[in-house]
Amino acid sequence: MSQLILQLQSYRLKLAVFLLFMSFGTLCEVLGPVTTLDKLISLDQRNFSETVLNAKKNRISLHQMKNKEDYLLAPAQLQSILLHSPTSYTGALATNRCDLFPLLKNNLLRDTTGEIKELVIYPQSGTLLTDLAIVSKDDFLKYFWPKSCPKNEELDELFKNKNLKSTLSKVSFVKPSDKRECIDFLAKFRKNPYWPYLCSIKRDLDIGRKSQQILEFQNKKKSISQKRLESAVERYNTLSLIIPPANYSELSSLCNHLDNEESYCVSDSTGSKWPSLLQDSDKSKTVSQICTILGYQKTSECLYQIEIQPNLCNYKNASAIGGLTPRFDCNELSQLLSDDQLYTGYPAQLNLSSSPSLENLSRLVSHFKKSDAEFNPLDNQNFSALYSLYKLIGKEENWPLKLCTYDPFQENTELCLPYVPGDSSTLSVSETRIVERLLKKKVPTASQAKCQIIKAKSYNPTFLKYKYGCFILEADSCIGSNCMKKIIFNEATVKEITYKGELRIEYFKTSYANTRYALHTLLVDTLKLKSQSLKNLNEIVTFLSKNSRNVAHGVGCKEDLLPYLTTRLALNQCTPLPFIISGIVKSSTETKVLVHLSIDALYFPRVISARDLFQSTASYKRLFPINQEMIYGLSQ
Amino acid sequence: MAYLSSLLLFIAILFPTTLFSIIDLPIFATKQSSNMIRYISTDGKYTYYTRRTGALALATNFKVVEILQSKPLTDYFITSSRAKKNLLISKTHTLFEENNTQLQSEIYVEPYGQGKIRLLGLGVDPKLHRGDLFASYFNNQNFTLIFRELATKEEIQISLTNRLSSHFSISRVLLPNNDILYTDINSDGAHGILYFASEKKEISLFKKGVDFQTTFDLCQSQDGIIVVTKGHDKLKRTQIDLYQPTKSSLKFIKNLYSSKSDDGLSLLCDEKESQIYFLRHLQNSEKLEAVVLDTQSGNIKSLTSADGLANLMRMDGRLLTLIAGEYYIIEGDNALQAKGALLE
Repeated sequence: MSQLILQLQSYRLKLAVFLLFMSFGTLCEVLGPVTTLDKLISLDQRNFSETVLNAKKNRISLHQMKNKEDYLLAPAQLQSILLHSPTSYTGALATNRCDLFPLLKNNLLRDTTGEIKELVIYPQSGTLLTDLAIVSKDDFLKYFWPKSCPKNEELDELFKNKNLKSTLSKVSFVKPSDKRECIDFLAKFRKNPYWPYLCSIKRDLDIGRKSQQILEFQNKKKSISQKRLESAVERYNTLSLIIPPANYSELSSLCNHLDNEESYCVSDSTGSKWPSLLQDSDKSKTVSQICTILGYQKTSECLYQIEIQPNLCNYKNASAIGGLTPRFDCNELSQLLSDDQLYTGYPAQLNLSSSPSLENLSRLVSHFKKSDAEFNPLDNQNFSALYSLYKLIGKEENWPLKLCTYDPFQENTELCLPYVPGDSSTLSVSETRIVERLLKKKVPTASQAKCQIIKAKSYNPTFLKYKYGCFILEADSCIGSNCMKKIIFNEATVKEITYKGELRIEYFKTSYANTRYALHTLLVDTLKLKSQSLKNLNEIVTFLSKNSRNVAHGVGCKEDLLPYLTTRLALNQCTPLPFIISGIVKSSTETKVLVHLSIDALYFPRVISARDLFQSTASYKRLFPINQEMIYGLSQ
Repeated sequence: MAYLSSLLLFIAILFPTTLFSIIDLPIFATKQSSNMIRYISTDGKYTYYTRRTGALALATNFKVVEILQSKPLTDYFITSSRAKKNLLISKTHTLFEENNTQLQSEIYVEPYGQGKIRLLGLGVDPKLHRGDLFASYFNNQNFTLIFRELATKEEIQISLTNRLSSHFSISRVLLPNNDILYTDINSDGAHGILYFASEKKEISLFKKGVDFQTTFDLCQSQDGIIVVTKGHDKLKRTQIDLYQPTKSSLKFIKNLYSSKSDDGLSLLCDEKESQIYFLRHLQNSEKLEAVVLDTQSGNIKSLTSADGLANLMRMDGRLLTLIAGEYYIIEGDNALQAKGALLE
């Protein structure tokens, strides 16, 4: 056995030399590392195929392997294993020689054929030329395992399904934050005989998840591969119940970097960041909201599931969440949220407001007024955008939308009350509450009436539920304030209450003598914010870096912000799209901005290049009636 | 010397120095501000432009007629094709302000250059098909894709699966047998291509993304239907395939283009041409280049990789791009040189 391990280790050195030789040998050609690897792989395939062909003439079984004879893996077999297996596993073999067997048993090693089912060996006393043989992996393990590593039998037992939960409860996966401690932790993990079994569990979870995805995307056809996929999913379902919610990603990181302390112990910028988001009080609220909209009642269960199945953020509850797709998966989303400076720790309006401008405004108000309950009443989800505007405008007399009636107790003078379209049980200014208030003045029997808003086509007075009570009917096409509505009480149309006023809003003022409300001006003036125009990427980066609460907002053309989802087919075509810039995303090639588009669901920002961002604002600016900058930084 | 100075001054005034910018493409120069123009024919004979009063005017044969009137801040854009039989005019009130309604436009049809319009419907994203004999648009309030034969006003309405977002841009093709191929999104947010059989009024799935990061684009060239499959995020890839319609479906003909990048942006095709235009990434770069691909030979030719290039559009044979708020010409003549261009 020790010979086998030594053989493996020395072969790694030979492989390294071989690779070096290959790279020198190909310097005269213009070849990159991928081409070199291609050549290496095709060479391996050739060698291995020839070796297997020769060995198949001498197929042996467990009984035929002489009892005390030591066997070695054929060089082509070794080379193949080293080339095709994850280096984190083959590298870790140096520490514990008995790890080879559980690695083989748990299918963590690979060769040219993929999953290893047979091994090409030869007796130590024999020669490669004459004594090459092929043996099944199971027989190989049965031959070597008991005599060389008897403890592996116990390990097998510990990792059976019935014992798995209790075995795993004794293992810690959490990476220490201190680098020195982290390196020690990794070294200890490598010496722990559990590790091949644990990494096999991680592998089964990965395969199960992918199998689940494939099954979802395929039509159900009864086939061998179908059965294999279903079996993988079954294993995945079993494991996902047993694995404690202490981080699949921690285990994944361990198994992926087992042989490399540097990459394991350096802060992982490519993995999931959900655990670190929970350390921040604001971001933990966002995480909680995301879990709620994904349909999980418990955050712990939610985090476990999104670690295991990152694509949940792509599709789970998508029809309720709304917004454009594709979106980032959960891993990437966690990375973006960690760079996101916009506060989003509150229940978002699902099926977005029809007004992108007001949606943007509402998000900015919630960001700068997050501790102000008055701006964030709990049940205003359905009209939070309009309500935000109402609060910003402040004075009732300045709010254009009014419900009016003639007050019989005031000599029939017209009484008009401001209303915010929509229904709220707590906000007295909501449309339903105002209608109730006015109805009481006109119809004495309406004192206890509770009004509700319904679509006109669903109103049918032949049904008992519509016979009595107050209903505000709106047309299908009616979204928001400017549409025809009808008030019904006890089947009779209430003509005495009328809707007045029209809400027309601009994001930025369209004339120098503007007397209407421009949202940007309203926001800055009412919330007493500082604003500065930002004309290039450097200014955006500098501004956002100054304070973690700084954000920027603007308007650009959708055709430029989302070039892979929209195409401009006409000259000067532009669909204005307000957005909030809330972070910077740096890669090795360029710096991009983190953006919340007003037509995207709140918790799902996008990454947009500076080119596309400034292209969109320039396209909009060229059409704008006055010379107006399109991106402004906002700070308190 | 004084004469030379005057001559130079005269030339400088006559030919503005901004005709050729630091971007190595000619600016799309027009006698009016190009931000007012909504369509101009290559020969300059027809120019549609907006007025500050909110009207859309047509200038032709030295006459100007207002073909649509509205209040200030109304905007228009005009969808056209090489056929030049009809134009689709979208009139929108929400370019600079919102009135809190679902953002729809009034879509009108105008026989090319005649100045007479009729209302087609309310919606967004209008397109012309089959030599301008058909038009389609998206009713983003009830999520319906509508095809209309312009002469007979016969209509096909397809209810979309997508209820996630009314801002989704539907790619669609009208096939010779009047079947329709179009993109849609299912309730999980996955993109796909659906096939609508017009005779049986049945919808079937033509192609679905292999994952949630796949999107599709469609168009029609002279040689068949172009299907672009794009992968995004970590799974970036592009595949452009050619299909040909059969009696009740499509037959795969060949792959025209493949890459490991999210290329295929701003896809432009014409039913009467074998060339398709799109943007692709330069190797190992975020920078884009405009290319033209011949669907018969499969040859690809690079047109430009100007700094800031990010979109393409066609207008009566010209290929234009909008960079940093200015239109540039990639292919075609500059409007200033066109005869009959009206000075207003």
